[in-house]
Amino acid sequence: MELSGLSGEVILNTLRQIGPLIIFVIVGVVLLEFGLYLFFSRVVKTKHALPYTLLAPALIALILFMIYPLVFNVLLAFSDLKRSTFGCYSPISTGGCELDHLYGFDYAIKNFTDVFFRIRNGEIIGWGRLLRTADSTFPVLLLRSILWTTTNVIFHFSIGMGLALLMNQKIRFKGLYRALIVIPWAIPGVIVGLTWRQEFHAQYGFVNALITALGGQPVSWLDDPAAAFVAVTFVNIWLGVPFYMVMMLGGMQSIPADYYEAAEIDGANPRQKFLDITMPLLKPIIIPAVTLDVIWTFNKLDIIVLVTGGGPQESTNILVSALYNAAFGTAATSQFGFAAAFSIIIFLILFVFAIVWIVSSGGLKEIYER
Amino acid sequence: MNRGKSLAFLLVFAIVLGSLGVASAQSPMAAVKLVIWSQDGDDNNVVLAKQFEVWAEKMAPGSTLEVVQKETEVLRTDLLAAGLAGSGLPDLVLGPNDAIGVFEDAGLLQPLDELFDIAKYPYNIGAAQIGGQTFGVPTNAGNHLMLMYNKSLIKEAPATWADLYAAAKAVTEADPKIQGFAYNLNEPFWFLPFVHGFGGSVYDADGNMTLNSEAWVNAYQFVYDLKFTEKVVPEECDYNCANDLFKEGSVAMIINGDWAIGEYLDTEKSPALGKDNLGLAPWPALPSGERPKPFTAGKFISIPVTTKDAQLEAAVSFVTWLTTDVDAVKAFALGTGRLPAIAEVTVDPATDPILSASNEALATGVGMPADPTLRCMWDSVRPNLEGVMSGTVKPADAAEEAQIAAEDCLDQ
Repeated sequence: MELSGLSGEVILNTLRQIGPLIIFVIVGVVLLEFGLYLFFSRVVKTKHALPYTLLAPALIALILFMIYPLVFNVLLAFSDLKRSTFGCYSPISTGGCELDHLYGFDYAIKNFTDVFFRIRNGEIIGWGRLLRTADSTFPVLLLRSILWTTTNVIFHFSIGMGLALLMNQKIRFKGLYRALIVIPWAIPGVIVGLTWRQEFHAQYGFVNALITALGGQPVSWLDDPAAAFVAVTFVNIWLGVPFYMVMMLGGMQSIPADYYEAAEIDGANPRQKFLDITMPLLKPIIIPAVTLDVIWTFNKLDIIVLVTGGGPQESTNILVSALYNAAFGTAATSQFGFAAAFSIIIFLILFVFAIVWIVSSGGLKEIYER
Repeated sequence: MNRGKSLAFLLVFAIVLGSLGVASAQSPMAAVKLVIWSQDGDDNNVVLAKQFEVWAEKMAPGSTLEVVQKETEVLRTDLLAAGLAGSGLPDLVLGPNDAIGVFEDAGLLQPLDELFDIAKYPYNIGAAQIGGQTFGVPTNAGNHLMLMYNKSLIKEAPATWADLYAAAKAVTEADPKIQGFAYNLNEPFWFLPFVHGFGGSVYDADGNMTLNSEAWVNAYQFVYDLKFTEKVVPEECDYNCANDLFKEGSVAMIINGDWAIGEYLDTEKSPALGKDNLGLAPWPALPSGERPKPFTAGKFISIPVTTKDAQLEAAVSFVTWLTTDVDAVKAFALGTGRLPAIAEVTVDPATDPILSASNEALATGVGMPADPTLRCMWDSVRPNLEGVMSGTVKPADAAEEAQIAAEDCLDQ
């Protein structure tokens, strides 16, 4: 048995293991499509049998992988599932069960309340701790999440836009630059996180070596709360810029050159061309890109976990990392019911943001009005 | 004549019956496919897989063992997820004893008292016992932290911390590129031995968690002084930092566990070490004369509740052989640089000075309970230890805050 290294035997074994599954999926989809077409054309007798048939797999996938987990998550929020009650919810556990019911509004009220408050003997005695330190409360983590998200999105957008403008010019070796800029996107997040963690090492890392070579003082990047937040934000900015650059560049290249030529004839300067032609025409791209980036960044915990582990003193944790900790953290309290309620609150925050942002910016108006 | 025939018949019957008995005792079991989730390192898992092949050849030809390596926390979350789904659990689980407490609490492990001869494991079986029942059998004893040093840089292990400071500073003075001493500064598992050395513990006599005693404050102060007063450790250092520096010869002394010995003896992976340069010793003594006391336990194999019938029979047979057969124990425990958990296998200082030194360090430790609440302690101490080691939290405040956090965790 070969465990270290990817040998031919390992690859063959893997193919042997996943091969039947792939064949099953392909054959299954073909049979399903055939059955659905027969159903729509013979039983329902609709003239749209083919489109419905082609849409069906995507709809089924949405139900299985999005709707069902969402419903299950809401159900979990109405449960008291945690390690100490595991025996009640697991069909195979031999542990006892002391709960008189498995799901209920009483559990939901407690789960949602616990996200915000610390309750003892039925009375609220303060903000609840979402992690272990005294300031790991909901307002503190929410503010940090907002700071993390806005800083990242502002830098993603401005650097991405700047690079896209540069790449949209006639410059030499443009393809090479573009490939170099997109590299962070191609590297797996785990490697990015672990590599940057080493680079931010106070004594042996590249960042401090550069700072000292330039005459500065070394910084305790991973020991100082403020420096750690800067470090982890920097890594995520580095990682997120290519997304914007690619999106903006695509948008810029779709703007007809006639507009700029007409503006030049009218005597417009580069600033006016950018503000009055490029930005308005990029709006249908900018608004969804910013919306997605806000949601992704707000929910992004892998870089935080890998670079700082949430530390020092839990100071780089945001709401989602606290949520992850409640369900899967090292304390092993496995508070799945509480974590489900917590995730619904985060979902609502992002949902409200997305609605307000999209409606107020009018970014999708053109798409709807087509 | 009739009597003679009867006697002859009885004799033949007895011989046939006896031979059937012998045959059944030696007949191999039906081939099975077992799956083990292992928290052990890749190198050790290779040895485990090879040992299974040895066992299968004798006991169940054609059997296979799929070893799935899982990091500590992944092992825990995956087992709980499978338990919740009601399927997908492995046949065996190999991991540290503190995971056993979590799995037992969730009702996912079988009690092993009826399946194994528990008396065979005299040293550390207690670390896998909860409520009078046994939920794991040890593959080795240990999992303990000790002082490890590079003999080409440090001739003799320091006996006290004062000696260690002097030796560490001397090494760096001789070559500024070499760090004298390093360890996983912010990890509570490396910090707890100091607490024990100052006379503290995690639980009081009544079983209540006590993280705010004088011993805890003294221990925080001691590690603070290591960094800020004596300045013998790097500004920042986690496990990988200490481990990598030690392997390449850039640090003279570290604190690490017995699980790393196998890797340090391999000069391909640890070019600066190998059996000639690796030295092991108990923790140096504190000013009081007491040594810091590491937690000790070992690695244990547990059997989930879903392992039944032929799978269970094969699993029990394999684990019994792996953990009690003298040759198998030598191969899997000693062969991976760890200490045996059975009395029949001993370590000879003359032929194996490395393991003998590890054994000496093991004797200075304290048993690690399998109680799942121990995890609240690790989780609560970590941010406060980080605060002390960054110089932003005072030792007394760290101890007080850790106690509050632990109580909060225990309520969840």
